[in-house]
Amino acid sequence: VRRAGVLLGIGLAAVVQAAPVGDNDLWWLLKTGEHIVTTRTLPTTDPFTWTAQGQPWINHTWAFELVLYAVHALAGFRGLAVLPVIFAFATFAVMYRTMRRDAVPAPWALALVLVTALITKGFWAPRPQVVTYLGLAILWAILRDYRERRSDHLSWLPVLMLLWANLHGGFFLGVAVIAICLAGEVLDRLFDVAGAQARAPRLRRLGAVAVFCLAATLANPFHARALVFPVLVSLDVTAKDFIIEWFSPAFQHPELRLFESLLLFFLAVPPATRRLPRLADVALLVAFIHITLDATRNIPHFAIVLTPLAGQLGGEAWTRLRVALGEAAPRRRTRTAALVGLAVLVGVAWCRDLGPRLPALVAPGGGVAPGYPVKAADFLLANPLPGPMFNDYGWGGYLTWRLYPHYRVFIDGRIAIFPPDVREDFLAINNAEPGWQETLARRGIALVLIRTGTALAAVLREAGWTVAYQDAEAIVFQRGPGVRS
Amino acid sequence: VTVPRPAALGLYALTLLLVFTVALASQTHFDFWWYLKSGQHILATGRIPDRDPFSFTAEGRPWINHMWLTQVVLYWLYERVGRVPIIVGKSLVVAATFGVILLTCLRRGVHPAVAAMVTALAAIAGEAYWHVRPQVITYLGLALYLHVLREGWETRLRQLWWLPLMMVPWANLHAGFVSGLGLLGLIVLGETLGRLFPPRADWRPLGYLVGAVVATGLASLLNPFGIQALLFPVEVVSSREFMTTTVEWFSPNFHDSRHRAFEVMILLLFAGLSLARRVRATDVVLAVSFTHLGLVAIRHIPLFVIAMAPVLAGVLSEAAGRVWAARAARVDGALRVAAAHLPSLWPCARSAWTHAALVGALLLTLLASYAIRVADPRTGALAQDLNETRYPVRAIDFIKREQVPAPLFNLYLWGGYELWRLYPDYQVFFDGRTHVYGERVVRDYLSVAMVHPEWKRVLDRWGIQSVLTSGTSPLTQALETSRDWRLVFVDHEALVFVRNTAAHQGLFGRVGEVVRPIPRRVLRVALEAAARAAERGDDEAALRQLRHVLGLDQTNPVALYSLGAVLDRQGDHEGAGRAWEELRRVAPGSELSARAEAALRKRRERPGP
Repeated sequence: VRRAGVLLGIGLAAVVQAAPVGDNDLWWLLKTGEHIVTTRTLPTTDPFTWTAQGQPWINHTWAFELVLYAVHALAGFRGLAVLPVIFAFATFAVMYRTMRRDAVPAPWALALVLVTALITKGFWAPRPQVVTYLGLAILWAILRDYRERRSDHLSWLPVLMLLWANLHGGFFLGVAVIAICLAGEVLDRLFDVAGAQARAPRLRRLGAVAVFCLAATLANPFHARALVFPVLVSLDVTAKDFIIEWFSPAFQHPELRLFESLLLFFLAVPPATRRLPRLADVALLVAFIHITLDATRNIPHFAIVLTPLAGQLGGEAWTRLRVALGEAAPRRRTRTAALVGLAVLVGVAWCRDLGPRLPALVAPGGGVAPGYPVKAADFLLANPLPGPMFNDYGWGGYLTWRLYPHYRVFIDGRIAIFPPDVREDFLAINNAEPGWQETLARRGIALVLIRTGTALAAVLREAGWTVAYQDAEAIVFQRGPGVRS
Repeated sequence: VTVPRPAALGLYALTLLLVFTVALASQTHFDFWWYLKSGQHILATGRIPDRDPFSFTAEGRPWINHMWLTQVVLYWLYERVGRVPIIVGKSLVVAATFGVILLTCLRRGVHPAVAAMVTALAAIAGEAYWHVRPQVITYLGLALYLHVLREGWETRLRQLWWLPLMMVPWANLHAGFVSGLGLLGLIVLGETLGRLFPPRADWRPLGYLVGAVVATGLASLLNPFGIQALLFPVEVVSSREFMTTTVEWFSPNFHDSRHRAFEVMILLLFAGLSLARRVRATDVVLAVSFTHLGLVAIRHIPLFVIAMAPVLAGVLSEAAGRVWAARAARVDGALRVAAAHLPSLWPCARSAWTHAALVGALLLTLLASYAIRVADPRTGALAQDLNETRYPVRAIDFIKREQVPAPLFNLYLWGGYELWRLYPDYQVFFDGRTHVYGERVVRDYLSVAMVHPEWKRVLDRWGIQSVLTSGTSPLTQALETSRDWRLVFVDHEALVFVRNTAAHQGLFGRVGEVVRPIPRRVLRVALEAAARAAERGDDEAALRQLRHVLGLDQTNPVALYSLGAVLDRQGDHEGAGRAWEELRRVAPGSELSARAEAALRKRRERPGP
């Protein structure tokens, strides 16, 4: 019964992540999958845009693109909506197991899984990042087991890294976690704050496995370039100031309250525990806080790696509190409180998150989130207009999926492939910066597909561009007199 | 390791000098000018306005001018001593604040070197916020409150009287006095928790503290607006429109290098609290609360650095001690080996003076870097801060001289300056007193400034006749392309547009045709594209880009020179000659012209391909 209850809890935590597909990158991933299948080659230069055509493209997610294309071919968009739920279930199950092995009581472990589910809400989409989420959970479980001398599955790590390196560039995070653990273990040996050295595992074996892991990541079509690529992306200042998921977290938004609570937990609770942590854990905490403050996209990484640590710390603090209160709190009441808390969390998760999304998921022909220029793309297919085209950044992938090879886009989510002048010109036009008209003229742009209601739409109207098509989502402009929808 | 007293005193002096210089380097970006106008208004009318007199969009709306006293003082100083003494005075207030923080750290028993470095780090973490604004009073107030209530306050109960006494001026200088009350509330919470877990019996001092907090709350009512001044900040933070549109209320962007030291403080705080165990419950309550505040809004970063510096110094001192005490034998062994190999340096490195000297050298380096920044005549604070040349001086002169028709729409950032220069001849649309305007005006302002679909309707609804805008605003691009508006003034940063109607023909006749120069970015990007094309041998693409540049700017010397070079490479010597001759004509004596002349001479001497 207990096992069924746990499975149900983890299942709920995963199911609340189900949502109609609406990730901006999904579309070019699908198109690339289709491209690989139809041409039977792996593109190494960009085929989809007219601004970066022929530019080198480190397509580090090629294997996941094939997975997406296969799922779409077999089960359509509803299948794609279910895919992240499977990854979420696997990730949460691994996290739960890690916490149980750390002796976190079952109700608390389940509650923390649900907290992670709520914190990572919105990140579970049919995109290769889900591989990194699962990869991190598995990696961290294996490392913790080894470190605590519970079991030794280190030999699986190179296999994990080999798969990971072909599915998503986030494998670099795995390499970093191994490196931090290794450095932390060395520090722990030099400064044994936690008093854990008596039962420390063999450092040499961990070092050897780290080298094998690094070697395994090179077994991908781009070899060392795939290893360098994530570093270059994370150092790309222009991209980081332009793509929302690379922004620092906007803590003023209530959606981030739970994540912030988990973060502040690491300020409030450690002083209440008696045992000092390993320096390896402190290093990991500091590293993950740094990357999460740097970019919102690292919030799930933070939650997946540090929630097990929170479980352990919370357990110790709770025990100490009970001792301080003279064991005043009876065990049964504690468990009941935990279970009621759990039920409330599940209820909140279910009602607030999944409820409103259900109709869109189950409706006939459903599975795709609103907000894409579906009808504008139909219009352009029915009425071929002369290009080249300027497009909204978020819609680049969708337009490629719908319109390639009839039209090529100006820009899409693969920001790293675009030369600096393309990005600069994109921002100048998109933000209607000084010289936007001259930039449009210099690029010879004759067609503009953007969101209705933007500043650019307003200035294009004023500048005499013809509205060829318009609906609540999208507006299509043509230079000079053109076709009117 | 101890630090000799003279060395410690030297370190403290250097730290405070660094703080002073950091504050000097921090330039004021918002609000200063309307403080001056308000101070002038109060002195001229002899009363504190409780309704807005300065705008035409919020005229007559209630205005809780909670910082009236600061405005009067600033105006008085500006009129009598000018801007530089004001900047120096502000920096002295900030240095005093950190002096109090340093003292708090030392009274906690923190190592002098750690106290000096954490104080310096905290001052640098808030470097973007040490402005000439009444907030600096709040920062000083917070530091003083924390000093009074530092560890061991239970033995100094008489000092609690300082809390209500300090509150009286504070409540008339800045609304941030509410954060002082909040701080007291958090300290009461922390002290209560500390007495509950583990249970302690000394509740009596806490009773006195609660009494002092109540007295402080009552003292805060001694201001012209009474309880309204206390409720005002609550109203502000509960306004969604205000909180989602004012940059100061946004979360910090950690990509911004100015927030690097703030992030370092946060990371050290997490690491320190993980490794320290002799931590007061009050410190934990403050750490959680102020970290939350700092993460939620950048305007709270100074509050974080002031409240957290003593806590951070304390936990770092303890954590470093614990880590060092837990060192393995091999660490000592390695140090002995190092000592054996570095015989001349090692004894020196173990001297207490050397540690102080190392910290001193670090502080001195930082001090030098900030001093250089302050002294820079082009960008330094002494030359530029509170300097009107950073504002649209010429555009405002033009508006006054030509009596540009009102009502005038203005950008938020320039609202205060416009008010200072143009009121009472013109009232503003919007300025830094966002809370006065109400949500409707904020929405209307954003609709126009961000060129939302209804931007024209909003301008019509308010009957706007003129717009003062900046070169980079999207509104400028919309007005420029619209037939309904006409450009009447332009300089390197500001533009003035007037509604294109028959009523304003007289003005249009006086100013004639005003044309905006081609933005340099456009020419630069095209020239760079031409250079890249030429480098890869694609001469046709290079020529296309160069002709595009010359289509926009016929006399562009770089484009003319490059056109000649590309044509020459293609064998069109006649075309190249024409381009270079044109360059010599439009830019005689320039370096490019000399190079063109040399190429022409070479061509004449050795004709042929």
